[in-house]
Amino acid sequence: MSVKFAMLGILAEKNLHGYELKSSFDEKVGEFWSLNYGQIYSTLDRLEKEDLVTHDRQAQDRRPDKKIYSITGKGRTELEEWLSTPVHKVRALRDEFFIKLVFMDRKDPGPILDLIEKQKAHYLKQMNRLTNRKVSLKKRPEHADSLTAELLMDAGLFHAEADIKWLTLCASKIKATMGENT
Amino acid sequence: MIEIRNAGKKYLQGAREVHALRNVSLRIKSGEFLSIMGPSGSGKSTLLNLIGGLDQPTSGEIFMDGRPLHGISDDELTLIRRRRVGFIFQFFNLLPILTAVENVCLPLLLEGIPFTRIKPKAVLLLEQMGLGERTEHRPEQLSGGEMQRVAIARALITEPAVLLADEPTGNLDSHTSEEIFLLLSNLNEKGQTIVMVTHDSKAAAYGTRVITLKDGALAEDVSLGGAPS
Amino acid sequence: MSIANLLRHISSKHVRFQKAQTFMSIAGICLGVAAIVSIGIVNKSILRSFEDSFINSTGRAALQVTGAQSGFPEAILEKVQTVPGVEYAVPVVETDGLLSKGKERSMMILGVDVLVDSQVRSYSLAEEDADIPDPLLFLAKPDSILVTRTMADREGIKIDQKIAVETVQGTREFRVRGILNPEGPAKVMGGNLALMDIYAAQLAFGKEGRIDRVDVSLLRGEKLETVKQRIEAALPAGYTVETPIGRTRQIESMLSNFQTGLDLVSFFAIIVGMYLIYNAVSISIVRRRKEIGILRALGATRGQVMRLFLGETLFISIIASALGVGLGILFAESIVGILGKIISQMYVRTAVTGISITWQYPVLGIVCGVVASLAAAVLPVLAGSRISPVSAIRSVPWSEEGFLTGRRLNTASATCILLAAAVFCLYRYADWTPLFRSTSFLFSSQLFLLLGMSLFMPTFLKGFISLFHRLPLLRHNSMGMLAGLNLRKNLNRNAVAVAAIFFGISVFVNSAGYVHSSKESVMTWLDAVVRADIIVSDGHPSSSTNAQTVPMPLDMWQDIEKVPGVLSADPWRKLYMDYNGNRVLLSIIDMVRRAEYSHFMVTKGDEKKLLGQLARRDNVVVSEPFASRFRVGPGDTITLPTPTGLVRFGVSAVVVDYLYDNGTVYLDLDTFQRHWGDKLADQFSVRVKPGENIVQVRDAIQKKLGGNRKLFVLPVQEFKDEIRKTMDQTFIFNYALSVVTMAIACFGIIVTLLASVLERTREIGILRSIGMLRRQVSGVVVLESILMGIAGGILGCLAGIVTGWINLEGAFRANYSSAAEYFIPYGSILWALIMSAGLSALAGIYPARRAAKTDVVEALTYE
Repeated sequence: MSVKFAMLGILAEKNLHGYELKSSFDEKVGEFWSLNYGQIYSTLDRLEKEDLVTHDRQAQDRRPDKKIYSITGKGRTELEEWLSTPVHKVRALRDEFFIKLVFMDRKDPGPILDLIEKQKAHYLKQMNRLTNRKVSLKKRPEHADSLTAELLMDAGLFHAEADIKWLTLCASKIKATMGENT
Repeated sequence: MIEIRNAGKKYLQGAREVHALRNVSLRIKSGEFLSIMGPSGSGKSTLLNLIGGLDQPTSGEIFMDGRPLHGISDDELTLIRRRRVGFIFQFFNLLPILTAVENVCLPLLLEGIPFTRIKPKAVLLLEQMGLGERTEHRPEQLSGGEMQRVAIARALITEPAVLLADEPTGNLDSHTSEEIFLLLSNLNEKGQTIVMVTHDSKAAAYGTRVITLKDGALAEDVSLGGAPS
Repeated sequence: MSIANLLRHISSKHVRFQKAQTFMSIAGICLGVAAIVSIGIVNKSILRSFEDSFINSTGRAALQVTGAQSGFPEAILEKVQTVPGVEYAVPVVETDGLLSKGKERSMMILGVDVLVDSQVRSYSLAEEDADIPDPLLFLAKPDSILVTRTMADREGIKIDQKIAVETVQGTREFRVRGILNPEGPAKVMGGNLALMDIYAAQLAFGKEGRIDRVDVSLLRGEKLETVKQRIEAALPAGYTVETPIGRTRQIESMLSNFQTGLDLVSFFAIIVGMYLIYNAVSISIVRRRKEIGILRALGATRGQVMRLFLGETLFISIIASALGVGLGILFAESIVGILGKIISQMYVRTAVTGISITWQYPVLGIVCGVVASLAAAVLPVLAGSRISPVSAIRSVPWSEEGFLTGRRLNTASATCILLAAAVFCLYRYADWTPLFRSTSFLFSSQLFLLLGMSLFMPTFLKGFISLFHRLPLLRHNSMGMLAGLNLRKNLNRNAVAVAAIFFGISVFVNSAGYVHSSKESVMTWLDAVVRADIIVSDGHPSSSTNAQTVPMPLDMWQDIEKVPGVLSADPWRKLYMDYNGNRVLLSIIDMVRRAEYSHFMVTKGDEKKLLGQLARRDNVVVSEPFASRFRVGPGDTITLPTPTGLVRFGVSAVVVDYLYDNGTVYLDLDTFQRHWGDKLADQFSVRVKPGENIVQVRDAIQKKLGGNRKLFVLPVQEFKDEIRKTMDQTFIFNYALSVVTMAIACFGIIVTLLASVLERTREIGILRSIGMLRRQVSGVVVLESILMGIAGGILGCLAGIVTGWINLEGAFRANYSSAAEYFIPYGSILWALIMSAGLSALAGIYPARRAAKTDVVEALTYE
């Protein structure tokens, strides 16, 4: 759903052909979203069918014509409406780690507690990478889209932090309940 | 540069003996940015206080650059604190009656160096902290972030071997905190050893290494890889 | 700005930021120093004025020959003149005179030999007569008098004007022949001096053929000591040859007890000031605990922290002491007159006109102020320097107990009290050592007691509060409950403020008890001894015991008896004389007449035989102080110097007597006249015929005899009342000093309450937010203050009773050698309690207002 609006958003700024669209997409949201060309083109086809985008052909030497995509009036309206509507769906609770929890050994909390620590360390390292990238971003603030990139990294950091906090709570609760049993 | 061997700290709370720290051994290398994490009451601050010479262990040994911090007199410890350690606190701990620049000069003034000789350096530091316009302001006239930057300047004026920070952003909002961490991260990049107590993993992520304390003992020690490039 | 500068910088800012506290500290120390300085200066000035009088009035004279106070025969003069080495020996008649123009003015009258006196003393006349070589020639006529420029200006006296002077014969007029420049002798008694021809003076003051003094100048090259010995050898026993300075020493020793007493009491003020400083510094350290923590964390050593706070105390104490010196000088100027008057009435006539400031007292004041402040600050500062930087920064709650636990304090308290008891016992029973006999030693016993009780204060206050909580009226009262809880929270600190109140009240009750009891003893004695109906005296009754006045002719008793309604009148004469190097009082009564209606309070000897032993015989009765000081009793003999030489008298009895603390010797009038040839009287005791109206008889006497002289005719009750008043007046300074002490104690309460109000800002905010009224908030604070005042008051009264008793046992016994019964001064105790509650309530007002002003929102966000 959001891929559709991301592409509308990119085309709202500038008319682009498919390849340029992919680069721009990667630059803006690639941090947490990667799409292949197939996905890009199938989405463009869908958008054209809904009359949200249209394309012009541009002739090239020795190669097939390039399709230059642009947003339609309907597309622009729909984009604006989407931009002004809050997101209703919050983050999914479904998590791989949670599935591991479901199947943990209820008699011996040792392995799961070890896992929690490893997971936390993993998150910390991830946060460290994000932070380092943010710090280097900060050093070249002239870069056009550094703000959104930074905000995106912040989001990642906050999510990771939340995960670490949740894992800490898990460990503490597991210890408290299972510690009693043993 | 800092080596802690089997350090323990216990004290009496009424008639009850409390072990704030048990048998902690730790080496902190020069240039590291170490974060100490752990639940409240886990002994984070106690460990930091021992490293900074604010307190002495009841057992074990602590060395800074090979010189012991344990079993020495209060005056000797005080001088190490004054000359080798820079402190940054959660509540900034600036003297409210002094101006920013006077606060920054404080450690060297205690050393007996005349104000006029320190002031240029203090002003320079404040300028580096982005407080060039605020040198003559008193803490009450500064925002939280500004106060903490004054405190960092104060900690740096002695060119300390190690910078200790105890929840340096505990009283600041996220955005201001980030500015402070960027400052610290820059300092670390230039080679400043930093030890920071925090409960905020976002803060720890700026560092190079994270240790976690539990019930006064060392529980985890995670190296985060190199400093930012 | 170096380190010292920085610390000074921090301190000066604090001094300014904690205005109220700084002000109170300064005010307290300032008052204490002022008390010490003013009393010191005044005491010194009075002594100085004696010295000046002696030195000025003696001119070039190197030695003075004195004998019995009533004067000695002129023949002695010739004997002195013939001693080898004597250049000039000039006679002097020295007497007190009253200028009876409008408001009476006392002055000293010097009768000198107009022909030779200028060889020893130099006089100079005011400019209009400057060409006359010897001003004394003006005095050739018997009605002539010279007055000083000071007197002339003040009284508006012109040359050739007649002035009225009280003499033995009554008021006489003298013609002013010249006015003396204020130089040399003319500076005596602050310029209250008149000069007469010696012959005229002898006549006017009943000293025909007798002189009071011979002033001697020495030939060049003669040794003072040699000539002194020669003169002593040439004279009969009973004469004293002294240098003028030596004579001032006598006076100094005479006044020393009185003056030391005042000095010591003035020190109480600074001690209370120490309590104040102790609290102020402790509070400042608690309040700045975080600052200490930060400084320590940044690398300030303990020494640096100590220096910071001691430096602040030093700074404040220097300012306060300097102000105190200034205030002390102002005080001294305003009280020197009153104290001079008291000393004149009690001891010797003096006319201090102003204060003389020597460097000692300002320096003493500053040293006392600074040392006391620093000493008081040491303990809290030491504690402050030991504050752990970790707990200070983390705002771990400050526990005030620490080193000063209740048990330790109580042990120290008990030790001090035992020490006080030991010192008192040494004073009382081990009087062979001069140290143990001294007033200061006794004083230290009181000090230990007070200190001991101060240390007990936290325990007492705790008990007092729980007692207070049991009161049904207050048990369910929120304000009472809060006040009690607040007091208990900073127990030690509050106890120090209470101890200051305690100290002030104890000084007050101590003085009151001492005065009350000695007064009771004296009055009991007076009631027994003075049985007449009317007293006729030459001076105000207040001066009837010690000071010198213009006496009346002895035979005036006959004139008094001629007044209708008078049954009898009999004379009393008093003289001071030198006995074994001590000034003692000679009290002369007509034994035969006196025995008809009055009697002695005999402690040793047979009362029934007294009349027979004394009348017309060379026997005497001595007072208890005399008996104990010179170790004599019935059956012993004493040798007294008389104008006719040394005479041996038998001691018939020892009696209770409070006339003079050095000792009194009673002598029969007839015997006195035989040896002294003195025909003067200082007082007449008049009895009224049965059924006559005392007041009418009094008026008749006044009318008949008071016409041409200053005469005080008082019904005996009024006479006694006047004496009572005089005794009260004597202790006016003790009361004044205890009020000063109380004032300092009140500053202590203000500092303490202010601190506790500021510390509980948040708590007050919470109380206000849940609906406590402003007036309830301030009510709690005032209630705390009153509770502290009453607690201090109660213990202070207790301590005051004990120290008063020690004083009485010690000082009174030392002075009069008789035990005075201790009377608890209930009236004063009531006053003390009212004062302690009232003053502390006043002291609570300012902190209460501060508490009531607390802004609720701000207080709740207060960190």
